[in-house]
Amino acid sequence: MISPRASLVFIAIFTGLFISNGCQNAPEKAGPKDVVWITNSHAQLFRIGHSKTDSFLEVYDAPNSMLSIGKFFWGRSLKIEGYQKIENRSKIVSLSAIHTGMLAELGLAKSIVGVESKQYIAHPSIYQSSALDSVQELAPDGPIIPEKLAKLNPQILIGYVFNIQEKNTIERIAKNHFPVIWANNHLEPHPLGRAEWIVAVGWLLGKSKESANLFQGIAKEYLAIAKQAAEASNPAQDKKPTSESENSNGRPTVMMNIPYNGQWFVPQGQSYMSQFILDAGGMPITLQPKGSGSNMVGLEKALRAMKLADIWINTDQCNTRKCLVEMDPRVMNIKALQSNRVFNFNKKLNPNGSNSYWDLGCIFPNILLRDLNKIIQNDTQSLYFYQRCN
Amino acid sequence: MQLSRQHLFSFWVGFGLIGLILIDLWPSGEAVADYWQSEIFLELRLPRVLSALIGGIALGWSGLMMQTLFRNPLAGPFLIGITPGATFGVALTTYLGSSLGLNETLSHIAIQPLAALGGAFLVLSIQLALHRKLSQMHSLLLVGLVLGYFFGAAVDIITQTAQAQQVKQFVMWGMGSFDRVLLRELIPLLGATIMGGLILTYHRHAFNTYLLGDIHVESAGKSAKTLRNWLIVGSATMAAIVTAFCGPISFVGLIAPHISRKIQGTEAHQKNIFTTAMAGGILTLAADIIANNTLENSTLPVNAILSIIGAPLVIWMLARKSG
Repeated sequence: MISPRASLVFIAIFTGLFISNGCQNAPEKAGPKDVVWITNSHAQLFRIGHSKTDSFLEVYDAPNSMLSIGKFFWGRSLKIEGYQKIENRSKIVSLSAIHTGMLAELGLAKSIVGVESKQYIAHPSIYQSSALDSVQELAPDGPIIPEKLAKLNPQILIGYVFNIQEKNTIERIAKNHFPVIWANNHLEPHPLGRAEWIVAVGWLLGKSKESANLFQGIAKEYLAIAKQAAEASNPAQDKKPTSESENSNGRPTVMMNIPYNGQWFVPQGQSYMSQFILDAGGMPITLQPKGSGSNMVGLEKALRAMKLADIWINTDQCNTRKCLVEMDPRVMNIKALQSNRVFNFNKKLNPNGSNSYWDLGCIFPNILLRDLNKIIQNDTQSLYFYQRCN
Repeated sequence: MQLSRQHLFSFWVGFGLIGLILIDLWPSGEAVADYWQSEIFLELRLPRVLSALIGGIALGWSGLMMQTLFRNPLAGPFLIGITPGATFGVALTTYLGSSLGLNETLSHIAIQPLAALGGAFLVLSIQLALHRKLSQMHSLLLVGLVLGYFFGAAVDIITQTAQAQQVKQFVMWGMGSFDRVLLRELIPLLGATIMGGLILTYHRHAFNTYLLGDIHVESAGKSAKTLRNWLIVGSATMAAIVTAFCGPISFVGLIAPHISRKIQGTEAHQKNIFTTAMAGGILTLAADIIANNTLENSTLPVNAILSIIGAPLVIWMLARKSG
């Protein structure tokens, strides 16, 4: 039996630990003095700033968070307290196909010395290049192989936090050797926020101007399509996603994803895909208007909401309506299936099995939005990422 | 006096079960016109509630038969390793299915249950082979635990080499759900349960003798080996078929027979068949109701709910027994 006194000591110790941990995670203060921070148009997980002598990048762990998970600089100063200097940029390891694609777009494909797996690379300028042969695969069948990364000894590593053990392993190897940039752009809720990370990647590798220009072009087209779609559907400005499956103010309702063993992941109203659909002139069917994740629901709840959906997109491994019905015959009476308005994102499958939708769609949300707008307008002649499931 | 108390308990258990069936079937969420004739009721709600009910009964009976087979009150489809074995079978078909070009419908209705059955029989055969060599009761549970780890590791290795969609499919299956069961899939589920129930009912007196030891069975002029075979066929089939269609459903097989014995105050099978079925059905229906009604916009995994209910219940029962 633990005595009451011992219990009190334990409680005091745990409270102390909790408070000290809380203090570590407290919001951090602004960066060095005399730095002018640039306001991003959509991205929330990084910021770039400039002083007279140096340039800075700060990376955050979540949208609207003040907790920095990486601070970097380059310029004339030799050392700045709390910031890691970026010195060499000719040997890059990229652990995400999206960042690899961004590097390729900036003409830096040849600098890549290591990737997670070649299987996921969808950018044509890389997988078609002979330079790919010399690129090392660091995690071909699962977790990263530490020895391979240590031996490769890159000058910069760009990755995303998939799990905390892998993050710790990489940081242990990288310590005092090379900077690690945790570019969690998959946490950005807005499509343009994810795409804007090309600016951060460009900053890291000395291509700030090129990347900013590229992003501006993407954003300009994206916003133009969104404006056009908004005008076409004549919506109220403050319109929220609906949980009803009936048309709302003339906007076609759009359902997403497929059931897995009776469970359906329904994106929430402020999620990446819901934003795309809203911007494309559609009304995403969601179960929760707020939140940027998704709700896992049973088939009954899902089909109640989706039965009258006008359009069904992102059917994953199912490229035909027959496949969808075989997967679960209870989807047969969904309006979109009956009216043959089901579309999947698998038009750009590459010879290595990768799908361009996952990386190019993220780098160029304007192209993806154009596709979705066409699907919503029922003009499906020249889609880039999507094709109809017949 | 004792008899009337047991009857009263049985009545309340039966009453509770019917109540839960009605609660689970009753319209919920947004109103649907002509609910009782609607697709929502006939194709989604009814199969879900029926699969929860039949699955609970089957797992309860499977647990009762396993506890008889091993003469061990801690035996259950999970602890003995049958569910991990069946899971291994399902993992194999999920991951190899698309490579072998298996038809989705055929895979759901026939290949997956057969693979689960294969895995379950494999585990039970290993257990029985060792049972004759290992005399201690706890050794058996340890073997079950080790087999569980072994098949779990095999599933992990298969998962590592699988494609993302297959992993998603398998992970969702592993959470356990009655939502995925189609009306037509209730036929094999019901068939396996009826078969298990018939074995239990037909051999109920012989199983009572079996609990006393092989020597008592032989002296009564029956074959212990034959009884063992019936127990294996019945318990493994029921557990494997439920696992194949609904995913791994934990704790029901372990707890339901205990609840029944508590109510009946005896180990006699003829008294426990009905109440074990009722207890199993109540557990799964309650889990299904909680899973679907706790959060407005989400569905909770049935297996997690049963573990949360089941773990403290087992600890409480063990503590009371040892106390």
